[in-house]
Formats: sequence, C-alpha cells, structure tokens
Amino acid sequence: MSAERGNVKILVFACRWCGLIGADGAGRKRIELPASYRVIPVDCAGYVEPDAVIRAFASGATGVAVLGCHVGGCRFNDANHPALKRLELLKTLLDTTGIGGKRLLLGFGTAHESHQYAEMIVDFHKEITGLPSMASWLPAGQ
Amino acid sequence: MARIGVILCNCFGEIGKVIDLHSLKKRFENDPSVDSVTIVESLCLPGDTAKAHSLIRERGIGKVLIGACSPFGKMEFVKLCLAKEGTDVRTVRTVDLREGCAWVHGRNAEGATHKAANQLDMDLALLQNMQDSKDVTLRVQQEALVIGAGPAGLSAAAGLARLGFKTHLIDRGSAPGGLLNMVTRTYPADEPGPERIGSLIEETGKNPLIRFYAKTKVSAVKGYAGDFKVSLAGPGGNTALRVGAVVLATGARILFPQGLYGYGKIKNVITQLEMERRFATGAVSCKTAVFVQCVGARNAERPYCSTICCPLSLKNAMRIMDESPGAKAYVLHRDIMTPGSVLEAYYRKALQKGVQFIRFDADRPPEIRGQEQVSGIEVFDTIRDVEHPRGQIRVLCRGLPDPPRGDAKRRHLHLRDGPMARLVGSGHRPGRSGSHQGGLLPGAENSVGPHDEPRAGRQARPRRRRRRRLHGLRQLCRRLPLRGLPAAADAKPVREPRHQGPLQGLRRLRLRLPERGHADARAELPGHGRNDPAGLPGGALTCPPKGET
Repeated sequence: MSAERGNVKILVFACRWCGLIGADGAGRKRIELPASYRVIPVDCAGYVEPDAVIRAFASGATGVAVLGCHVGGCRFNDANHPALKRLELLKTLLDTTGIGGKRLLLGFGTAHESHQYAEMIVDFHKEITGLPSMASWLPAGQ
Repeated sequence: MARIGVILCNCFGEIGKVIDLHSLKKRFENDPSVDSVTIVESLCLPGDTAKAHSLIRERGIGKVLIGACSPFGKMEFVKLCLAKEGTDVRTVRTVDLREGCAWVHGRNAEGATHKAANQLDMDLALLQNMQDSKDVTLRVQQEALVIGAGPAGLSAAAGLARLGFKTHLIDRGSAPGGLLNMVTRTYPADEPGPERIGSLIEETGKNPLIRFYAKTKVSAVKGYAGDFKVSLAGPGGNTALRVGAVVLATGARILFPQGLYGYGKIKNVITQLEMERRFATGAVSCKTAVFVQCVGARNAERPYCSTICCPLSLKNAMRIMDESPGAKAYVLHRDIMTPGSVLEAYYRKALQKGVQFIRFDADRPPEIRGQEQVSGIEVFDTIRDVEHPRGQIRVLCRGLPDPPRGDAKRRHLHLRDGPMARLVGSGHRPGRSGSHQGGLLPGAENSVGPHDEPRAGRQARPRRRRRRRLHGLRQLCRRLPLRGLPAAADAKPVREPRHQGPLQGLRRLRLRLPERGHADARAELPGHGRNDPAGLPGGALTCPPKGET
C-alpha cells in the first residue's frame, strides 16, 4: 500500500456470510465511503488470527477491522465467539505495545445491515484519522 | 510458472466511469508474471464470456485474474459459464471492482482507482503463489471393530463378515450374548433368550473373519474414520488394532431405581432383571404380582420411553399367572406402550388372560407400604377415579435401561451417527422424534433381553435399501475410492459416491496454498464455500442426479 490521503490505511477482514454481503449491499445502495480501506474476504471471522492482524499493522495498516456475523448468529454456530475473545485480548496487547486498541475494530452485523456497515467504516475512518500518525513506527520506505 | 491473464470488466461504464481501467491495464502489463490485460465491455454477456475463454485457451494462460463485480453480483455466474466452456475455474480469482469499489467511491475516482489496483495486487500475489499439490490418497483400513457382543454387536459383526471384512468383536463379558444371556424368556414368541441368538453366536464363532475378544475393553482410540488406531486391554494383555470403522454396540445400562417405591429397602420390590434371575432359578411363586411401569423414566431426568418395559411386564405377568395357578397380576401404568400389530396382539392376549391394568397419573404415583415386606400398595386409578387399597401384595418393580453406555465413548471417539460409525445396541430407542441425545440411536431394545427377533440386530445388520446409512464398511467403500477392495460375494458394482458424504472430494483433493506468507493467507480448497458451485471439483459437478444413488 502506498500513501493514502490522510495516511489512513484500513484493512478489513470481512466474513463472507455477513460482513462481505453487507459491504456488497452498501455498494448497491451507492453509499459513499472513504476509499481508505481494502477488503479481504474470509470464510469466518474466526479465521482471522491475531497474528494476521499484527502482520497487517507491521506492513503499514493504520487500522484493522474484523467484521463477522452477530454474536449468536454465526454461520458456523459460535465460531465468532472465540474470535471476539481473541481479538478483545489482542486489543489489550495493542494498547500495551503502543499501537492502541482503538486501531482494531470488531464489528458484528448481518448480511442485510449495509447501512450499519457503511456507518462502521465511516466512523472507523474518522477515528483513525484523529489518531496520531504511526509513520514513525514504520521502517523507512513504507 | 503459469502466466496470468488479467481481464477487467467495464460493466457498461459502471466500473469504467469511476475507475481508470486503462491506467490499471498499463500498470499490470508491466508485471512480468502477467501475460496480457484485456478490458471487456460486460463479462457476464455470453459473447464476452466466450471471448474470455478463447483468450485463456489461445494464449495458454494458466491462471486468470478477473476484476469485475462482486461474487454476489454476477461473478459466480461468470465462473459457472467459464466452467461450462471448459476453463479450470479453480485457477480463476475474481476481484470486486464494482460494489466494493466503483459504487462506494463514486466521487473519488483517484482513490477508487488506487483501491482497485491494491485489491487486484492482492489477488495477483495470491495467484502468483498458487500451486498444485499432489493428489492425496487415503487408504481405508479393511477391518472393523465392533464394541459389545450383544445381539446388536453380533449382528453387526456377522453382517460385516458376510461382506468380507475382517471384524474384531469385543465384549467385557466372558461370552457373547450380552444381557440376553440373563433373560429366560423373550416376548412375544416366549423362547429362552440365549437360544434366540444361538445361531448368531454360532455363525460369528465359526466365521474365520471374526475374532472375538472376551473380557476386553477399549483403552484408547486414535485416528479418524477410515483409519482408527485402537488399543484393547484384555486378559491377554494389550492389543493394538487398525480399523476402518467402529461399531459401538455397547447397549444399555440397567437402572437400579434406588429409593424409588422402596427399592433397596423392601425385600420383595425387585427389578425385572432380578425377576428374570429368579425365573432362571425357578424361585418365583407369588399370589399377587404388581408391575409398576415408567419407574424413573419419562420424567425430567430421563424424558424418554424405552418402549420395552411394557411388553416385558406383559410377558412376566402372563408367565407368573401361568406358573403359579391362581396368581393375580396387576400392571400399574401411565399408558401401555405396545407399538406395532404384533405387540398389540400381545397386549390383547394379556387382557384375555386376566392381567389387570390400572392407570395412574405421573403426579400421583402408587405408594408402596411396608418395612421389610410389602404390606400394601395404594394407587389412584385415573380411569375409574377410585383408590385401590390392596392387602398382601408382592411388588415387582420395573428396572429400565439408562441412557446408552456409548455416550462417553461416543464423545471420546468423536463419533456421530454416520456412514463410518454407528451406535447400535443402545438399550432404548428414543423414538423417531430423536428427542433424546439429539440423534437416532438404532436401539437394541433387547439388550435387556426381552425382545425376540433382536430388533437391535435388525438395525445393526447391513441392509440393502431401508437402512442404507447403516451399511458400515460397504457403505464406506461406496463413498471412498478404495483400492484393493476385497470383492464380496454379493457385492454390487460400486456406484458413484454421493457428494454429501463427510469425506467427499477425497478423490480429487488438491490443495492450493500460497507459497509464501501473504496478508491474505487463504487456503484454497476447491469447492470451498457453498455459494461457489463453479469452484467445485469434478466430484461434485459430476455427482449423479438425485435418486440414482
């Protein structure tokens, strides 16, 4: 990823059963969203390891969003429960390391909640914009 | 390394008017792994799909990157069309440039183009690292283990041996037969219990394919369906086995209803099994016998009916009346469960013989009086609405099967009822509703022994049509590509496996994994994702139409 306006680079892991369909719906409704995010479809939010999130930060993302189904409404019964727990724990770790837990967004929604999805992306973008730059953390050249 | 073809769809300007496709084209043409970049007007139209396909074929492109609409738009359809044309869609990646990009960044053409380039980059990297893995072949062990040598286990073992599979039959008792050995008479044919399965024991004893392990327990199970590694602990020390399937025919546990109706305190309150023992020693003579039904069953703790106790009580009531002339038999019941025409006839026979039936309410169960011996029993008859105070009376209290012993083992084995492993011989059948344990347990009601033609046996035995899922190894073989499968005498041509099986797709399991670490480290299993019909390997696309299997 090269420099983006406002230096906001958000990586979105979207569950293909809920989050991704919500994103799709936002597109169909032509909701204008900041072009600062990139989407990686995953089969379940439970697939997103904390390691992947940390690697995203290490490779220059200033924010990571993990979007899954509602807790209790997971496509794979309760696979997003452990995801939620793991990533909440990761937030603490991010706070400890100084990256800040605010840079990790956990979102839960159903496939038809495209407005909620759009709102989440816009708010997260605003939040990340307000945070101090991570540039000094990154190796030269990124 | 296979060259990558990039196809960008304009979608009649829906994408092109926001995203600068020509700059993207220029950008990707510079990539050394990219063969060519083509911009088409609308990929979902048949003309353009055919064009894309001929491009892929003519240029010998191994992998394809498509930038068009989202998978929930037309991309699945396009993939399907490409698959019909003959393209291997497993090497096709699609990137959402319309819903996820052009339509949400309509006022930010520069940002949208940048985002499109990034998203295409990600999937391009994935395609670059994608490679074929070799086909995986799994060998299915041609042996089976049957745990429990009751009627159900014996039937299962005999059936498996008839199909030509080596079968290990284990039991914790010293002889096969299970609880049926303790039953003197079965209903409704009124034959000695052990004789009912005599021929089965003989068959399993004679068959060289069946090996019986007495006083043996399973100490450990590892592995998976198709290749279980089982350790047996028996008198001869530990035995290690490798089996393809495990049949759990551990039957039922007898419930000893301590504290209920004075059982354990009052001497002549006994369970049916204790009564069978007395019958065996010829020590049953009484003037009055009262059978209390549904003891400890059909309550919150055990919400099911075992369906065996009622006919069992009928049998023993009639037997007491036969053996002690002038004796009276009462059955105190909540409702008599004698399903089927045979058992219904049996019930009528008991009525004719003069067995007295008194219905009681679950909220107002019978009360048994007495300290050492029963001095009386009180029951409120809900039909006649009267109290029945009784004088000197002998009480026989139903013992009933507890939930199947297999439970712990099942958890341990991670077994589910399915083609590989089947729970048989559990002591009760929770009924078609499957209310208990969440699944159908084909029951060996006769694991407490009373039933004639062992229904458990019938259920455990491989059958042709009705019990297709019970086929055990034969069924397993239908589902898997077996090499060196011994041809059983009655074997039919192995048909195409149904694709719903748990091991479906093994025939053509090819893994495509990114070689290096990648932000999007997605393992690509062909046929992954239900809404991805085009992504399925040939196994699913060529599955026979419904009803043929």
